[in-house]
Amino acid sequence: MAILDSAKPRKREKSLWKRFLAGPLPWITPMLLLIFGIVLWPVYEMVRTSTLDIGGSGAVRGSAGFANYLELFENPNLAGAVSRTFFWVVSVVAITIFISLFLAQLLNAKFPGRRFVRYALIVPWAASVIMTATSFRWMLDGYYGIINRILGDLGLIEEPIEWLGNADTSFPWLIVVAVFVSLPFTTFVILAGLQTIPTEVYEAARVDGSTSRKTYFSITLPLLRNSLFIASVINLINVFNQFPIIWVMTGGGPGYTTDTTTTLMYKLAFRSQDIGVSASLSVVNFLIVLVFVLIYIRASGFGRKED
Amino acid sequence: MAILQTKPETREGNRRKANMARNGKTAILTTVGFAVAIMFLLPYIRMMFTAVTPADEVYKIPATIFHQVLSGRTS
Repeated sequence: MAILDSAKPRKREKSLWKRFLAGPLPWITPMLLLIFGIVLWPVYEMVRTSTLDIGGSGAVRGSAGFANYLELFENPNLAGAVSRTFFWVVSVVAITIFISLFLAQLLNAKFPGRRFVRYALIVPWAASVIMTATSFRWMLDGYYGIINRILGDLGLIEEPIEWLGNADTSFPWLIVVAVFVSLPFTTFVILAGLQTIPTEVYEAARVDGSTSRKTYFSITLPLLRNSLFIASVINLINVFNQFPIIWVMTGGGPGYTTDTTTTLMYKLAFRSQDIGVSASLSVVNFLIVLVFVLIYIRASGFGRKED
Repeated sequence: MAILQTKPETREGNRRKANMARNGKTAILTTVGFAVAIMFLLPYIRMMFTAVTPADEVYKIPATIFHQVLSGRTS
């Protein structure tokens, strides 16, 4: 009897597997191949490259083991780039989310010309990031830039400032441009979230005598949790991997003073011709962003069932 | 009962006050909305006018706020 009992689930498992092979597998195979080709294989190649000894001309000279990683951690610019990346990601994402909450609320309200304002907000999203960064770089130019002219006319500065010439002024401007570029997407995600909140909830709150401030913090914000989560995670990954803004506006300079890990990775690969070391930094980058996202998912409690 | 006892002038006054508050709110929202729109469009507007401005004016020190193309001057 015992043998017969244990054979039953195995038989059922076998038939389940057979059903899976005959049913869903043929349908999901193209998608699995796509995930393998686009996601998993490049990750494998990245990790493999980080353990290779690659010459300046690109010729593989054999395995390097962990030598590339050791060389990377001895790089004097790495610590600065990592700390700057953390500051860059946290400040850009936090400022973007904060401003987006106001903008989404504004775009959700009814007023004449609301459609025009919504379209205007899409422009930085639709425009190329390179174009936006170039435009800002030109406006911030020390000699020909409009920003110096306006600030000078207002009496806020006495002489032109080379905004992108030193890290103290260029890094805050990079943050401003990154926020400017990130705002449209975040605002529209939050706006979509706001539009899913039923009006009956607000009516019930009004009947209960809730103030507008209390309604916002007790109803709107909690119901926006999912939208905020999606906006934050996508922003976090985008900002972490942001390359064009920094590259166009400062090139990571002067020197390495505005480099993040992404621009440092590019410099290592194409300026220092250290492909292996650059690949090891991309592995480290990949792990950092993974940890970032996991910490955020855990902290936000996303996916956890409500009691 | 209390509503029934309210004078018609008072009710009219309340309605006028509510309308004024609503109009004021709409005006503020419209102003802020357009200010936001201009802020988001400004870099691109500047870029478009720079694209059609003669090089000698583009490299003028100090920079001109309104390019000749915008101000209608041709010389």
